[in-house]
Amino acid sequence: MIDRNWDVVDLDPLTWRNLGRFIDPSQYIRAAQPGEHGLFVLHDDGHILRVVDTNVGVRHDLGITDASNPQALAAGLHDCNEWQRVHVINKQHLALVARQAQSIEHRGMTLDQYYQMVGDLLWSSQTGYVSIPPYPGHWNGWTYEVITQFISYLPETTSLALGVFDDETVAIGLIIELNEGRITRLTTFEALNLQEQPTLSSAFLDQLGDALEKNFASPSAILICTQSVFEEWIEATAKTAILEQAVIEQQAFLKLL
Amino acid sequence: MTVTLTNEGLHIAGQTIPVYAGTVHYWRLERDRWSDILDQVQKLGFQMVETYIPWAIHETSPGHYDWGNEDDRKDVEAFIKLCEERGLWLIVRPGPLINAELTDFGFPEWVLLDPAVQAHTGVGSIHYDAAWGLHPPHQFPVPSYASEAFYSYSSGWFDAICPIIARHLAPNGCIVAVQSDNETCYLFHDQTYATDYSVDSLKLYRLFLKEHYHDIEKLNAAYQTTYTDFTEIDGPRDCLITTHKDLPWHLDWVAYKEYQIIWSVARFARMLRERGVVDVPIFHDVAFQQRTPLDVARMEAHHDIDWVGMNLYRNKEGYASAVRQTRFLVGSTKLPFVPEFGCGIWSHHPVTPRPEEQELITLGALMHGLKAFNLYMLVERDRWQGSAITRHGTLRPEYADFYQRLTHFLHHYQFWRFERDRQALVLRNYDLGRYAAMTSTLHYAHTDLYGLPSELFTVDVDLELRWDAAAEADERRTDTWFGAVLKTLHNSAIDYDLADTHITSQQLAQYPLVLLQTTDFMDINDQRHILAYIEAGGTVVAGPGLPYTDPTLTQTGVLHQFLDSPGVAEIGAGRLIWTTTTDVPELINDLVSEPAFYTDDPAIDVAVLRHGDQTLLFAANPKDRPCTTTLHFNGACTLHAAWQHTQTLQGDGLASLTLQPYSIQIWEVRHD
Repeated sequence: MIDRNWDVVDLDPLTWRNLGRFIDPSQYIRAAQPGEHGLFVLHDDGHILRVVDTNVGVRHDLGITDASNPQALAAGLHDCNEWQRVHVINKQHLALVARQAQSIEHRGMTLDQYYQMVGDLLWSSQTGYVSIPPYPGHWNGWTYEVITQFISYLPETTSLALGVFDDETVAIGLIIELNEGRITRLTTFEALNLQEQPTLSSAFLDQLGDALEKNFASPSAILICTQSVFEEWIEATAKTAILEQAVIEQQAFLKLL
Repeated sequence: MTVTLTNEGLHIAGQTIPVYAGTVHYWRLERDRWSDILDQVQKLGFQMVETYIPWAIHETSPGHYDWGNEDDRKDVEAFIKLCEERGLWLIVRPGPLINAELTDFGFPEWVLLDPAVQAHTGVGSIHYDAAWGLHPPHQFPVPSYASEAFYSYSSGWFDAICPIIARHLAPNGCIVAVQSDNETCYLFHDQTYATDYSVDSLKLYRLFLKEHYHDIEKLNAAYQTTYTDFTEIDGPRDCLITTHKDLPWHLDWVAYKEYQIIWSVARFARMLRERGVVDVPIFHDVAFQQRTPLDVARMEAHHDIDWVGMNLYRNKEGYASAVRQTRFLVGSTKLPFVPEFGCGIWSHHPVTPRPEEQELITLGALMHGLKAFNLYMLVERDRWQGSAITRHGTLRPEYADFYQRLTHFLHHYQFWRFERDRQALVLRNYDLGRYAAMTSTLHYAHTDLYGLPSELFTVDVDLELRWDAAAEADERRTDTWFGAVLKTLHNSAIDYDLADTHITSQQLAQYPLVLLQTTDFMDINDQRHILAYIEAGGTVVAGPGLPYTDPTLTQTGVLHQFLDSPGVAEIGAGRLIWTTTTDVPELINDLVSEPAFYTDDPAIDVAVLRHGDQTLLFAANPKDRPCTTTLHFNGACTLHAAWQHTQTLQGDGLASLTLQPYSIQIWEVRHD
């Protein structure tokens, strides 16, 4: 391994294109949603600096003069029913988040831990960043705690695989190798040099398991499923039920070892 | 200099070598694959390759270097010799910064962890690269490019690597160009008040002020302050402007941020030369920024820096911005060069480009004047995807096919010799960029992650200006003078270049017509520069205002003496025309001649390139739907297909043309 931390190699471009949407850490931290009509009130410990409406730009006509009670201000503005979300943000809070996050003590954090900390710092204050509706604390039902808990159940060295089929095409063919709870190798089915075309079947699930066993650390979990099952699983709250039903309908094949 | 720059490529031992290169990271490839991989590179038609030489990979502990004796992939000299044996030219980029999606951007950890090296934010902390550098597992402290300790460490690295480079310089060796550092710009923390407030940076800032003002009383006069010494001055840490009296302090900080970048790139260039890297161009690559703190024209004009390029990564939706950046490169630099031209993409990018997108963007840049490029990465490696050649030495046929056709086309036509039919130069006002930078705020780490609207990052400042500088500085707007100029040129199919008011006299003199963005203020020397161009016979169209002051709003303007309202002034052998936004379309269409080729659909981008009696015509459809339109030209013409999926056309004055979504067709034009 040329890098002391991890290898990310043999990335089939289609898999990576389809995984790209998960990479942006911003979506897991922010309250503002793309396309949402929002009102942003920026203040400096109560002194109003700027008011921006995402549809029309800077607003001077709203008569907002004071943000010393940011929650009341946000609630009052949201009650106007003009915006889907109202943000009242203290500039000093954003400065504090930046200062606290960028401490040399955090150098040892993994990036997922680091971004989680940034999110925690941003939302830990009751008054620093007020969003109405509030920041949900999860992304499509996924939380950092759920994922770290899942990883904690895994053996010290292991692998995971995910195959998503768009009809007969492998839309996602992902392999992850972990050591002591950290990803050390990230690759795609391309690395397996499979001789036969992957299919959504129990036979391929077994074949994949064997290939992982041979080329990677012993696998702990393998999921292959259709694109629609994958999308539902990502977005639904009842994630386990989605997979259970899909397995019954042979729209998904799951191996937990 | 043994290897020199021309406007076509590199001049080496009596011949012009076009710069069409591709990146190969030797240290990330198994040693026994090097030969096969270079075979594939040559089969695709490339005669030049490029590589970083990564500091941290070679200096594995302080003072201990692995040149292949421990890990055979690190034998850089063997790789260089392999290139020489095969007759491949080589560009090297030894850093010290390289990024390359490496943990810690290629810096040794002990360097970054030295507190004397670390940059400091405006809120008193160190900087992490985390927001931009999704390079797990750890974020790293950003080094200060003003830190003397940083240069001391870097000297050690250059002491080690430069003798190897020097042994292989052209024409006896294969190395034809060397890069000084990489994308130098505060490790992407390029916002005005984000950084760098470290002790060494503030020391350099004060030195900069001293160079500018010479003595403290002159500074006090400008700032209306009572400092007794430069050491008392601190840089602004946010926009605190309430009146024009606050402008010099803030503008100087903005200018210092530019100064530090050029100072640093030049210093690294000198360090390379002092260690024997001589007689080949030393260049720098700008990441993407076309205005402050990057000053491309002034950087290339610096005597220690021979050449400046800009990197370019775009998906199909980025066609228009790729074209704009190419126009800027052509207008601002000697040999328009993209040292990193997207060929595949880094693994943490959200959208892997498809082969057809790479074709659209590459041909789009070439048709707008790109002369030199390096495909980054031609050969895949760790943390990269979508290249033409895999790390195992096999082709990805769906990606490789385009590059094989491309090199064939470029060499068949000797494309590097062609020049575009361009009629005008659009000049951005560099001071408007500084104004926007000066009046910005919220320069805190991670604010880019919160989904905040861009308007929240600007401060309301009322300086009683006659024209709206903030609006004019915002290039996303189409309702400005600048927006009207670009829209008119586009709709009228007039080809043009783009630069800013720091352009050199030599570059400026190439254009008969200059469209100059101006408001209340503009640097006095830049105004004199424009005036000299007019006096020598140039035509300048300026607007929406005519500057009557300098950026600090204290000195009287130069251009304003000729006109006090929109109109025309004959000056020397040239003309100054001041026009309002409303009158822009009519005026431009009066001043320029009808293009030789144009279509009825302004969405179709047309470019004509000529060399001797050869003419190449490009037509691009950057939209998501097919387009059928009429192509107009003078007289009877046959347009012979010069590219795949291009139909030969024939007509007298016009021909019907159909273009698929996101596609480009190329013809060789022959008049019947």
